[in-house]
Amino acid sequence: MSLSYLYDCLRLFGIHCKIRLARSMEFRIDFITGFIFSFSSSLGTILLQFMIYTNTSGYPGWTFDQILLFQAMVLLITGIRDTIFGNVRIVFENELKSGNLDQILLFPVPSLGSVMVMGFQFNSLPMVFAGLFSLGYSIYRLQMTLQWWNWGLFLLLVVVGIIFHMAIIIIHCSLAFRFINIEKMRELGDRLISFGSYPAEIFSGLTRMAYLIFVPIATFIYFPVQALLGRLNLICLIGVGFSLATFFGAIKFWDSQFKKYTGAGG
Amino acid sequence: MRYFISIVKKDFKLVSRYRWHYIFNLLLNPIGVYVFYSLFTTIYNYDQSQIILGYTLNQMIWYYAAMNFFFNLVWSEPDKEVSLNIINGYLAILLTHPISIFRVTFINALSNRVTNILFGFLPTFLIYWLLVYPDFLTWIGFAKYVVISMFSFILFFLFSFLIGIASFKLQSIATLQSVKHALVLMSGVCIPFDFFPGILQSIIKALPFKYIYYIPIQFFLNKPETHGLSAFYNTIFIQLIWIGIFFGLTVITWKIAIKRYYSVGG
Repeated sequence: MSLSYLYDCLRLFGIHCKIRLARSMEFRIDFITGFIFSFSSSLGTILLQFMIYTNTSGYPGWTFDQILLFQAMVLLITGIRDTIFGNVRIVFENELKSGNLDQILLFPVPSLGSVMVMGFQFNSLPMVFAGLFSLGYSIYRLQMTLQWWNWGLFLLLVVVGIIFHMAIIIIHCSLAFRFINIEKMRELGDRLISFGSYPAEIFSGLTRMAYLIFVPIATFIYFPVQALLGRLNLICLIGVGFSLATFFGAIKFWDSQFKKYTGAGG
Repeated sequence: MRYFISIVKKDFKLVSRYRWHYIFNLLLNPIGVYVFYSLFTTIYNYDQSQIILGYTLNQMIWYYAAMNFFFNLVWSEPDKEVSLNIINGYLAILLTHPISIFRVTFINALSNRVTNILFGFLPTFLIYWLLVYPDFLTWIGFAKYVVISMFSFILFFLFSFLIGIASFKLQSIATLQSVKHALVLMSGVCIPFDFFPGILQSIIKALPFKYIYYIPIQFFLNKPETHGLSAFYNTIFIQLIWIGIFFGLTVITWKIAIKRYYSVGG
């Protein structure tokens, strides 16, 4: 992967963002109120954790402030992921079904890059701001003194989580070449991703092993939060390894399925 | 009635055409239940409680599992239908049809209920039954739940249609739809509102939205306050009052909106 390839992808992504924003701005009132509402409703999810903690003992191994940090990360990471890649699977499926995929493949960027940049979803952006806001608040509440390596590990794990998320999208799109109508597969992916919104401690046995290692959903939120809390262990390293292996495997899988693609649309 | 039967026939054909879609859906549902099962088993065990805010562990798991029933029995999107017809310019054509848009949308939604009950609700209920035995359930409670849910469907349809009418003015009603989702979530879908602080509970209790999910599910869970016929009749009576109010508002706003509506082409 060369730097010019990355640059081309980013440029194409920028064009997609501009188009989507321009489309949203056509409905200006809806655009502004939607932004405000989405920001406040994202913060509302933190209230839910508060209610659980005021009525129960909460989750084992997590104080309320720590779970607040976890929830802030759920907002931040989900927001970032959905803002960048939120529409990829839907747009890809639609283009494939309608026969327009051939046009996208003509872009001057390699096929996978062209596909991965078309997912910009503006309405997830307020969630990023809500996540940042609540992350700052929870760090303040926890009175954490974070070292540079805490932040370094945290950022690294966030990137790994995003890479693993990309792997799920690539596998989905590759399968779409073969099965075309895989709306339910998308739902399966979403359900799988939603496991990441809960700490590992609520799962037991094989599910926890899968969550941490084999299908390392923990890389989305759990591991980055543990990095901030200074509670990382060796399992994290294995999970990261599996995430990266899944990503490279997904690219290989894409290549194999892409070779079999034939389109007569355009 | 003739129109309704033909729509039901069409929906049955769709189900048979996309049968894998339904089968896959049934296979996906247990994943969601598994998450709730893990989450609440951990919370109840950690809290060392048999009952939290009047819910046993089984009742709490089913409270969330029933979210799926809600989507099969109650959920409809006439707002989306009306809004898309306005944005795409199809409304002008639909207005020339011999059957009113309200009636067509309602019949479509009702027909969806028939297929959703047969191919969604009943099989899902059986699968959940096998996974987590509902020791609280009585057949009378179940029958009451189904009947009340039918009224909830009408109430929810009217509320959604009313939001759809707003698109005459706003075109894009994405924010209003988000508000609708938030109201439904806050009225008991995301968490039983027994968890909420007193003042928030009072506000939600004064609104009609609790009759869409929270109240019907109380009958399903066979909570003590739902025993006897008076609670059942009382609930239906209040639902009918709200249905009347929403129907009145729908008729008035539709008349005003349609008078001001103009369109070019079609």
